[in-house]
Order: sequence, then structure tokens, then C-alpha cells
Amino acid sequence: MLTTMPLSGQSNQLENIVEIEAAYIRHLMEYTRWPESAGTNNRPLVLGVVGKDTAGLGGVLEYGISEVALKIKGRPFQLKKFANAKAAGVAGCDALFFLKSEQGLVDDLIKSLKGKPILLISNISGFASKGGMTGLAMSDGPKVHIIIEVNRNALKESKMDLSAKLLGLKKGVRIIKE
Amino acid sequence: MKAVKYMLKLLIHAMNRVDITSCRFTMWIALLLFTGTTVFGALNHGFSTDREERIRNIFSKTLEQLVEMEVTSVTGVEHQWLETPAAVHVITSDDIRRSGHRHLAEILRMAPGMNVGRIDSWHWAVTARTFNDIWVSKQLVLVDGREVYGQWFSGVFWEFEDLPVDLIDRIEIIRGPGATVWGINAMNGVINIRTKKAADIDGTTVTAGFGTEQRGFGEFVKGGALDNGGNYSIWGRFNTDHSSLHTDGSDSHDAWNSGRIGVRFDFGDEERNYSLLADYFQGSLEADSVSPSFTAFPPKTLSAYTGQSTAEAGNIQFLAGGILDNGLKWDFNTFYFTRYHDHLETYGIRLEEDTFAMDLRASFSKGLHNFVLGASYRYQNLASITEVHSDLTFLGAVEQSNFPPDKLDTYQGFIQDTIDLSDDLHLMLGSKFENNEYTGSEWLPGARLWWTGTPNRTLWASASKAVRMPSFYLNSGEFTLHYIQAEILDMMDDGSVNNSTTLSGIGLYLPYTIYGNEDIGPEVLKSYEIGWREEVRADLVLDATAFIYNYEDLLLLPQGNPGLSDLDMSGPLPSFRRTFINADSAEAYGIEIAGAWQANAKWKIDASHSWTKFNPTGRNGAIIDGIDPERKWQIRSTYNFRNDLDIHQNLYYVDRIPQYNVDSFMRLDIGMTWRPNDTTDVSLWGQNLLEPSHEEYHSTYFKKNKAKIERSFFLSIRKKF
Repeated sequence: MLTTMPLSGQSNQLENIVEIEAAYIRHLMEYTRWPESAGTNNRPLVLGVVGKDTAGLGGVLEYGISEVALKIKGRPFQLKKFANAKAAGVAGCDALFFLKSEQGLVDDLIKSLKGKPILLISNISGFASKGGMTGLAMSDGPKVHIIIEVNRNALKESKMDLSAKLLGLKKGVRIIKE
Repeated sequence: MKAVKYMLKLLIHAMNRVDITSCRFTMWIALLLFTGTTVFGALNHGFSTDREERIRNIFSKTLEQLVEMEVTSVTGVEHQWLETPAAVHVITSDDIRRSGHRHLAEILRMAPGMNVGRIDSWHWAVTARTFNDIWVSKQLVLVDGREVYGQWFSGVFWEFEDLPVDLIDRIEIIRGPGATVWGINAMNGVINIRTKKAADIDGTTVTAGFGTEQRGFGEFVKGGALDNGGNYSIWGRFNTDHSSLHTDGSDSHDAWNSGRIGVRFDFGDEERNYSLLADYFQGSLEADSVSPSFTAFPPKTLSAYTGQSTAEAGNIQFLAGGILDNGLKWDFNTFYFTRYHDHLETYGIRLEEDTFAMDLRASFSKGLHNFVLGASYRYQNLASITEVHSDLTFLGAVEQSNFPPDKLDTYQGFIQDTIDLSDDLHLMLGSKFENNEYTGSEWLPGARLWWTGTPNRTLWASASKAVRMPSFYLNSGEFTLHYIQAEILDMMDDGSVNNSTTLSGIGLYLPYTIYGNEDIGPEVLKSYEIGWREEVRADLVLDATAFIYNYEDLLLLPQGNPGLSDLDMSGPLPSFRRTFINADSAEAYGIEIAGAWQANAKWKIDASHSWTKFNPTGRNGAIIDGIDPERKWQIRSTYNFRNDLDIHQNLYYVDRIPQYNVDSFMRLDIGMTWRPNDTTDVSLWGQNLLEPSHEEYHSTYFKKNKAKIERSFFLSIRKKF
């Protein structure tokens, strides 16, 4: 990473974190198994980014789709952006990423989407322990890494799961509830 | 100005309300641009080529590789910092590069609540909160776990400690008595400097520059892999600094140059790792001393010696650490450090100091308990050479200073338990045991309670006791400060020397000597702190601390004119002698507020304000009254004006120092960094721009005249190979 970072000065911290988060979201979708009933096998997956995107996560994902030609399960995927969780069409996505602006609504969101075959991801603190499926959290320690918090109960309720490869990662995955 | 403010408000409003990628936002930006607001320059809608490359790179990584990537949060603060239950500030290597500060002591200006006063070109007084002095005796400074503390005066010789900016990984500044784990003298705070591991230094980076005050400077760091799987780094730096000014505008005779080289080897992984570090320092420093002088009391120094001082230091350090199968984490640290300063030409003294130390600590968890425990041993060997100035020999063989050699053993142990009372409530209890040869054994208990119930918010409170081990100087040193002309019989009724005796009179010149006291005890601090830290929004972090300090048994020199009770007739000549006693107390309280705001992807602002009230309550308190600024604030801004151009500003305000009659000052630095390509940056800085020169601090023990720090400019080029 060091070699590709510009040498100096300007803080790339904001950029750096959303880029890594974007890459995580893409991998999480790759390693997610949706139930057959969701019909995701035959069409491009749809990812919704929900909330105030001040850090520009949507832009990074858009760039990934259009310029890097990112694929999930061998197919291109679609990105939709929603100003907030109440916007129409949110429930029609296959995966949703809730930005930190939605922090106050987390409990309601999880409740309203419970059982639906939608992969729920967020970097809101404690998302997985509150019943969200997957959270992106920061590790402790002076060198901070992103770790995936997985709530398998929540996944099971929606008849979904993550692949053994992801769950078996030695580092970077924390199972919140079995 | 009004228009700019309005634009700023508009921009912030837009940032908060609108999706950055939406067209409404783009319109706002276009509007801002076309209305001719040049303050904030162009916001770039697309990605720079650098960023495009980086995004491609990140998207090409496997999940296993991603897990290894290090991140920092939006405001640059680390998650761990948010949850640390202490007044901690972290300065990263990026912060340092954006600050334009190059000397280590100057870098510490950025920390909230830190007092940094530049006494002259190579002397600084640096401390957190209270008790600032040229030899700050109540603060612990560590570099990679090694104490960089001079036992002679308990202070830090900052001129020895400069490191290449590109070698510094991070500096953690803990205000207040550190958590139990910290070592001796962590009374007012701990400054913990960490250099980069060899593996974190990629290729070679070279910096060179010149300027009006920093006449020439340069540094390099180089890292690489070893055949056997380890990594190595080598580094070096030098500086040539111009002298500052006396208050009358004449040269202050404090120009200096120094150089330092070092090497590091790292082996192993998280489970077991070893590191070997070594470095060598050499410096040549012009000095303008205060010398014993012939004067009536109170002392007015009449003569000073200007000359050249030299200094050398070497350090070798071995670190090991790892995790055992049962989850126990351990760290071992040992070092040997040797140094001398030769001030024979000026202060008539050469000080030599060797230190050997080792430290073992372990941490493990059991149920709700998280234990950290450790033990350390330190051996110090102190030696000195003193000379009498030829001007003084007519007085007989009176030694100007007398520092007998000394060997010291110090033992420490600590145990600390962090108990998770619930998911959100944590309690840290601990105690440190310390035994030193000057003051014997001490138990130092501490407790900390913190609550993390609301996401991204930490509320904490602490109570602790800390002691300071006296320096060699206070225990067994001897300094003749002044020669007082006094007719031996011309005493006042109360037994003090008659002040009105003039130099022209015929009388004896009696040395007035301050000597160390072997019976002294430690100075004690009882501290109470509360704090709040919160990531208020994704782009804003706030941190506030309030503290109350009670100092007891402060070691001060009894004030007042020397009198009959100080007269010592046992020598060949009568002399006045006086020593330090643990007789004073003081209280201090204050509030510190700091914030970091990432206004948008290109603009970051750090600001802090601190207010400290210090009240000596003892009989001899006058000597420590008004040595710290009551108020300080700072605003630092970094703006990415164009993809290849950053603009930085530092604005510091420091209140007056009544003890030394130093006025308050405002300091403005403006810098620009231009990146003509991905591997080069060119920086141009103007520092202390608001005044031609200003005073910051003083030490009557050390300098005849106050020095003034001048406005300065420098240009530097940094190139990566």
C-alpha cells in the first residue's frame, strides 16, 4: 500500500477508509449465499447504499463498477443510492449498506427488514450485535484493521449464510452470535 | 472576510445536507468556483490518478490481503484512542509532515495542553500542564520504550533527541500521571515516541532543505528486506541551526549543529519477534552561559562565557515480544545508553552518564479481568569533570560546581487489572512499586473508571498518586551560583547580609553554593481527572478533560537572602550554603478541549484550547509562581488546494509567563507542499510570521539573557526512491 500512496501531505485517511470499506462490501457479497427464493442466481445483484454519503463511498463503488469492471459471482452488479432508509426501493435490493447517518434508525431498520433475503452491512458501531447481519468494525490496537462482525443468527433468519472460506478466516472475522 | 465566512458556512451546510456525488452538490461547487472564491480552491469531482490507482489496487486485493490493510478513521484518529480512558493525544507522522516542525520539541507544540517554550536555539522547556522548566523533572519521555531522561537534572536534553521526521511512526502524549504501567517520574505526563518498524519503511526517502534559521538540514530513511526473512532500516539526519537573538538584538551565541545515524533490524512475526536498534549522536553547540559572578544579593549576573560545547551519545537496544499458546502476551526491552555533554568552556562542567535497563511485561485475560504486569531494573553510572574558570582562581580553590560520581539502582514493578464490569463499564485498578536509592520505596496506586455505553463516546474518571524521584542534582550535586561580596560583619539585625554593600567596597567574596540534600524525600502528586471523548459525527471528534492536582512535599530552595543560618565556617573560607527541602505544596486545576474536524475530503482542521491555574501554597512558592502560561490555544489547518498542492497553517497562542517576564505571543506558520510527481514533494514554509522575533521562555539558571526566536523561512525537498 505504501508504494501506491502519494508521498505526502494531504490526508488520505477519509479516502483510505471508504476505499477499504468498498472492497469489503464487494467481498462480502461475493461470499454470501442467498436463498433460491431470492432469485439472485439469474440476475445482477443490486447493492443499495443508504444514508448521507459525505465520505464518498458510493463514488468509489461506482468507479469500481464502471472503470474496474468489478464483478460479483461472475456478473457485474448494480449500485443504487438512497438518501435515507425510508426511501422507496430500499427493500428491493439484494444487499444494503447503511452509512453512519442512519445510526439512530438501526433498531427500526433491522426490525423492518428481518427475515428478508437482503444482506445487511454497516459500519455503524455494534451493528451486528444489535441484530444486523454483518458489521464492519475497527480492530483495537495502534495498528487498526477492519474486521467483519458476523451475526449468524440474523443470517439464518433470512435463510442466508456466508461461505466457509470467509467464516474460516484466521484474522479479521468475529462471530458475534452463533 | 464576510463573504469568505458566508461561503464557508454555505460549503459546510452543503457538505452536511447533500450527497457529495449528487449533482446538486456539484452545482454548489461550480457556483463557489465561479463566484471567484479562491480561498478554498477547486474541489475535484473525479479522482486523481493517484487515487484511481489506489482504488484499482484495493479492489484487486483478496479478502485475506484486505484484512492485513491498516486503516485510520475519518478524522485520522484511531479507534483505540477514542476508547482510551486518559487525556491522550496522538501525533502521527502525517501530522508532523503537515506541521513544518522539524525539531522534536517543536513537534510537541501540536499536542493540546502541552507547554513548549523555546528558551534559545537549542534549549526547550516542554511539559504537560504545569511546572515547566528547562529541566522538566516531572515528565517521562520514552523513545521505543527507552527512557530518554537525564538523571543529572531529571530533564530531557531535547537537543539530543531529534529523529528523522520520516522515521517517526507516532507520538502519544498522555497528560496527567500515566496509567499505572508507566515508569518513574510519569507525574505530569508521558511522551511516548515510537519509530517505524523496518518493514514499514518502504525504499529510500531523502529530505534536504535550507532556510534562514534552519540553515541546513537533511535526513534519509531506508528500509529493506533481509535474506532470512527479517527487515532492516538505516537512517540519518543532521541540522545546522542559526543562533537566536538577545533581547537587545545582539547574537545569543547558541548556534548548533548535530547529526545522528541509526540502524534497526526486525525479525519474526506476531507470535515471536525480535528487534535490534542502535544509534549514535554527535553535536556541537555554541553556548552563552550564566557564570558565577560577583554581585550583591539579589544576584545580578555580571559575566557570561561564550564558548563551544560538544556532546555525544550512543544507544543500543534489544526488543523481543510475542504471544504464547495460552494467549499470554509478553514484551522484553533492554538497552544500554551512554552520553556526555562537555560544557567545560562555558559552564565549567562535563557530565557523563551511562544507563543500563531492562523491562519485562506481560498481559493476559482471565474471565472479566485483563491483567498487565511487569518488572524493571535500571542501573545508572554518573560521572563528571568540573573546572574553575581562570577568572575565579584568585578566590582560591573554590570549586564552581561539584558533582561527585554516583551509581544508582532503581527497581520497579507494577500490576494492573482492567475489569469489564459490564459491556459498557470498565474499571482499571493498579499499583506500581518503586524503589530508588534517593528516596527508598513507594507504592503508587491508581484507579480509572470509564463508560463506553454510547457508541463512539467514552466518559472516564481517574484518581492516582505519583511521585518524582529527585534528580542527582537535588540529592548530591553542588553548584556555586554566585559570589556574594559581603563584609563579614556587616549583617542586618535579622542576620541577613546587608544588601546595600556595593562592589567597590573592600570585603570578602563569599561563594553562595546550593548543594544537594541526601535526606530529601520524593515529591508527591495526587491527581483527579475526568474526561469525555466522542466521535460526534463521522467527521468530527471532540475531546475534553478537566483535572485537579495536589502537589505535596515539593522540593524547593528556601527563598530570601542568605543569612547567618546559611553561613558555613567549616571550610578554608567561609561560605553561604543552602539546600533543598521538601517543604512546599501547590495546587493546580485546568480544562483542556480539543477537536479534529475533517471539513471535507480535502480540508482538515485541528484545534485545542487549554486553561491551567497554578497556585503555589507554600512559603517558597514565589520561585515557581507564574512559570506556566495560563491559557493556550491553537488552530491548525491543512487544505488540499489542488491535487498536487497542499496549504498548511498553524496558529498558536501562548499566554504570558510572569515569572520570567515573557509576554504572551501569537505564532503563525504558513506552509505549502507541492508534489510535481508521485515521488517528490517540495515544501516552502514561513514560521513565526507575525513578528520579527519574540521571547518564549527563559531559564535564569542557564542563560544570562533571554533569547528571542526569530521569524524564519525554509525550503525543503523530499524525494522517494
